[in-house]
Amino acid sequence: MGLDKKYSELKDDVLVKAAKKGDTAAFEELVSRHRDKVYARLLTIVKNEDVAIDLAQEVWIKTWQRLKQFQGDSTFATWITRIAINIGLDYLRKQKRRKIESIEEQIEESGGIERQMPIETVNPTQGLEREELRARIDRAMKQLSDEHRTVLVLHEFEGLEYKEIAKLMKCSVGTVMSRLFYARKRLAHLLAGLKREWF
Amino acid sequence: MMTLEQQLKIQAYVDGELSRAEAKKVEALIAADPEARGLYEELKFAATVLREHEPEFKMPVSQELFWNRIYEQIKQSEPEPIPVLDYLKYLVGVVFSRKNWVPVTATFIASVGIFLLKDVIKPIEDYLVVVETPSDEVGSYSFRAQSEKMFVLWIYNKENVGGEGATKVEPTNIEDEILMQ
Repeated sequence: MGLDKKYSELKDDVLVKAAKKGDTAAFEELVSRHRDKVYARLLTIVKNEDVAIDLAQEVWIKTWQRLKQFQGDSTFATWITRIAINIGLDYLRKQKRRKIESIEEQIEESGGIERQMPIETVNPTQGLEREELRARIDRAMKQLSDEHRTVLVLHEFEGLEYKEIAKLMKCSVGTVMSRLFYARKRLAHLLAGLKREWF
Repeated sequence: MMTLEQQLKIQAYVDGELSRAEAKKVEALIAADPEARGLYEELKFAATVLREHEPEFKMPVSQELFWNRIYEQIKQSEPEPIPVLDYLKYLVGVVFSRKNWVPVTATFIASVGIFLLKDVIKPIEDYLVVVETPSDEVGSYSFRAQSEKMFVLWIYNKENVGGEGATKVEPTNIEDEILMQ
């Protein structure tokens, strides 16, 4: 079969098989297909465009190096998203270690800096366009702490269960539940106007 | 006032993480307690609004530029080729290529033949003749056949080569040779 020039018509698993044999053109097609998803996931975790681009590059290089480990138990998209999440979380951990004081501890103990952030208000009489709504949610998400934002991303966007999140974030299920609870409360508070329109 | 445990139970109910029995208890609590009901709606809203409106981002770098960066890194991270291994691979390729099957097979058969016949063909060194010259007057020839465990030593008077004075000593075995030396 000629893999030659019709990579765009091939399914992910065929491209992965070819890439495992060293076909960089097949791998390039995989990068082209999934790079936005990887970048988006990293951006929601690290909140910084330049960092997200650099980390995305790291994700793809690691993916190439580990390609032989991919057995096809999940889809390629799921597999690479997990790699991206792990790299994003590692980055946050390193950043946190560099901080003299842990902002997160203050948030967990005192109720949080996030309460001081501006609240996204919406005019209930004005219908929200889908893109605008997304932009508001994005702004609200950026106001959350790293841990709160990440737990929401993993639960709501990736659809992971508590115990899977606990494993990825290297914490207990109780901590995941607690973080998720406060993250949602903060988000609901930040999107208070939207909530009134919602119900 | 609800406890944190009750609040987390309501959240677990929203997320479908409770058993059926626990879920029924939470449903009862939500139905009976306006505060529980309010929390349920708040958590449900936060979960739903995110799931249904995940922000979409496009990478602000062209595919070509992004791929070039990745490709360079991939090439740099690959181990240097080992010349010896490459050469061995080349040799294996040559030996087992279809066009070479006649000479390769012939060489193989010849090798097997030599191996099988090596005990039949007597080694050449068994027939080496050693010429010894103990003195100016006396000469000698020796002959050894290892496979027969035989050693023959011929001593003669150099002045009377082929004459009556020649002395013949034969045969002796290999142990005798050692003793004689």
